[in-house]
Amino acid sequence: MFPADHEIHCLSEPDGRRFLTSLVLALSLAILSGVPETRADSLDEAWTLARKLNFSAANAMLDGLEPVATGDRERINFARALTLLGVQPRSARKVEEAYRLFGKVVDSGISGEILPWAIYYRARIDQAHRADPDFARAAEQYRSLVQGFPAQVPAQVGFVKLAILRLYVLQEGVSRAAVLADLESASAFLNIPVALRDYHATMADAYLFYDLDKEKALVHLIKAHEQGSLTIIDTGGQMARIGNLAYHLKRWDIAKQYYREFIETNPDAGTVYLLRERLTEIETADASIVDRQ
Amino acid sequence: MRPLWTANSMSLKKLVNGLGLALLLTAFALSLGKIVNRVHTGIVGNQKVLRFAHWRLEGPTIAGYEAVAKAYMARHPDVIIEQMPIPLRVWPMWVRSQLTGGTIPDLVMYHRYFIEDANLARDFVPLGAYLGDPNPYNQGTPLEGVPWRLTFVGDLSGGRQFNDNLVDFFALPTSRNSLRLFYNRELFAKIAGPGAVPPRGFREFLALAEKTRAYGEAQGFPIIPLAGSKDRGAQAMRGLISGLTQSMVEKLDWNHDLSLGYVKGDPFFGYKAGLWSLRDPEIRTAFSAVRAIDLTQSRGHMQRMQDEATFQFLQGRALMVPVYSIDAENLVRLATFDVGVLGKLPQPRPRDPEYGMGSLGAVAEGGDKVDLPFAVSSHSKHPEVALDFLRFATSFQMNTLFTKISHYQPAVDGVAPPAGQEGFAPVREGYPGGIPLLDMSSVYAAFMAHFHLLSAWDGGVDAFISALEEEMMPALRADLRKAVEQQKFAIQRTDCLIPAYGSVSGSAEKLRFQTLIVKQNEQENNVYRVLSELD
Repeated sequence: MFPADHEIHCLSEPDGRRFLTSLVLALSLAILSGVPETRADSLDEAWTLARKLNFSAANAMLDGLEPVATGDRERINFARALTLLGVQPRSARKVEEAYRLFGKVVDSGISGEILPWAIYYRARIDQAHRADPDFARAAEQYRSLVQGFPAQVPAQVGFVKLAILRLYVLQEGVSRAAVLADLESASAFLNIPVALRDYHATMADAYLFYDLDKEKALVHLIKAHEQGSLTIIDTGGQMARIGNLAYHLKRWDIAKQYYREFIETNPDAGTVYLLRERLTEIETADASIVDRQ
Repeated sequence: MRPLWTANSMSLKKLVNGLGLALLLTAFALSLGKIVNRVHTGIVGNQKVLRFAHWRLEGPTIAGYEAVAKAYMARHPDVIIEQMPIPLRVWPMWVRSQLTGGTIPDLVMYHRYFIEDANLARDFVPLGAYLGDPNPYNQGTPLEGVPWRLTFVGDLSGGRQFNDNLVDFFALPTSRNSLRLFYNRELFAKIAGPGAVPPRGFREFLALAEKTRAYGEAQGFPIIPLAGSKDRGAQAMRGLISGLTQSMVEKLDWNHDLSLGYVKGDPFFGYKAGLWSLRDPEIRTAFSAVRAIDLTQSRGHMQRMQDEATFQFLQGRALMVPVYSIDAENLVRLATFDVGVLGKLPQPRPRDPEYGMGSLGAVAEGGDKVDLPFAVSSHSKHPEVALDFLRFATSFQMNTLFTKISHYQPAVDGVAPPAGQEGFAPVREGYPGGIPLLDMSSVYAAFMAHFHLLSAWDGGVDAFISALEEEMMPALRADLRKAVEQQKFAIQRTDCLIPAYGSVSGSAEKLRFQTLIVKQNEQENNVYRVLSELD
């Protein structure tokens, strides 16, 4: 992300030298204008611009890009579609064009990860980018991903998206408990930590939100935690939730374990004082049981 | 014939004018050279020049930052650090023009009101990838080996440093900020009598307010117990309602995180399901306490700006005033009397028979009060030096130095607050707050539209609740819908970002790729869960 030392020195050239360099470069470009710039460089640069949320410039850069090697056309179309989705102001025309471009990648039958990602993004457009979302079609595409590419990241993440849609949006004519059970039996293929983590977190939330089964929610929360936490967005909230849920279910050993871990790693959190009280309460109860024995 | 003195005077005048012009041109040329040199290279001689800009113009603040900069330069003789204090009045315009012109300094004090997300993403360095490693400048201190993120008061999760839409940290704090009550010690001694102890509890506070009014009337010079203003008044009400509804957390906290966030729908879900209403005794009690506090302030205080309230206090026309700790130094300096710190606005205790039924105790203050954060410009000519200076400035030793000179509260864990300011320290022995009623903009607007009913001398809680109740459900819905729409926009943007990070192989980018997926799933779960109840 940061320029290396030699790049910094380049930036600080004397102005005269810089002017001459620019002149030579401009002349060279003029002479070589018929030769397309390298695809890999432009794609990388477009992604760099996208990372800076400059989708318009990224998309403009990709627009005139000609494919050179096999697979270039699909990679360019994929990047064009994705950056087009980010260009503001958003319009139905842009969304449709992006959908069409992803479709071209899908229809090409290209091998590698780009194909499932293109299917995934068609599902994303149907679900989250259209003014009138088509949730059923999105779900259908997530299902096709799970069937066709179960080991790939987009399929595993797509399964989580499918779970969210089935739990809160789609009306399947069966109870939420039945949907939860079905998702549990269909989840065995998940093995990528980020997808596993989000699947278990989604399931735990649904069990709690519909007030269906707190014990199952606890199991899912613990499994989500076991996949590791991205400390940038979770500084222990998940540990505290496990402790709190276990406390309410009178699962004292679990509550103690997670409360201790949370307090140790988050001594300044606003909930620590209350959790310390609860921990003392559990430990005191333990001690009195030992005394009675 | 013209007198000689006139001719001499004319040549002297020409000479002076010429000298003046030459001096002006030299100064102009030197300044131009310096500016051109700075803008183009960031290097003077063999030294790298680093600039940092902020809007705090108080002498001690500037001196504090200067001392930190000097300490850095002493350790790194190849670096020159320049401080750029810019008045807050022109700050928004100044930042915008610097961003547009590509001349933004290497480090900039950040506030989301002044720098939009698009600029943040384009012009500043995401810091999340660096926060997992220890800060090397903490070696030999109690924070040696501790990941940088965990070296701050709190965990930075609730503050303005983390941007939910961009899913990363973009600024790190150099101070902590807390709202505290200040009082005029001399006036207090006259009102309460010699040797009297300042009030600690809510009841004592109300009693002191009564005494203050009586004293003012007896003197023929009205004295306001508490100098209020629009924003501090809202803060005070927010704190009271949150503190007096703590006991409602258990029944509304469906996901067991001990936090009633309006974005995740807790107040709305509970209100819709009939789990709480404005007529619940805890809510009524909270409104009664708000009314009681409101009556200790001057009429119309909710239309006043804070400057007016501070002026009332400094003139001796008010006994107490709520002030943020970062403004405390100014208040003390400007006052012609001895100023004391009372602490947080007193809250009713749990055992208080009239007000305490919903209270569990003090409301804990987490890490969301850290302030004066700096962001690193991605256009910096020396980004590695800028990041290193940020590490240095937020180290244990340097935050100790800055705290000592600026008299601000420390942002770094374990750094002692300035002497005599222990009352600003975060409240750790406390419980999570309750219903965040006034955090919701539509609910707040409805609350304020009918506030006159609650605050009128002949008004009261019942009339206020009846009026607010009619608007409560639409307001809750409007706030939640607005929050969901913002999340939907963030979700769409995240979709466009995920492959951009997946396309590169660096560990920081990989971490961000995963983080974006996790955060998006978290937001998507929330959006569809909320919509399933809203629609």
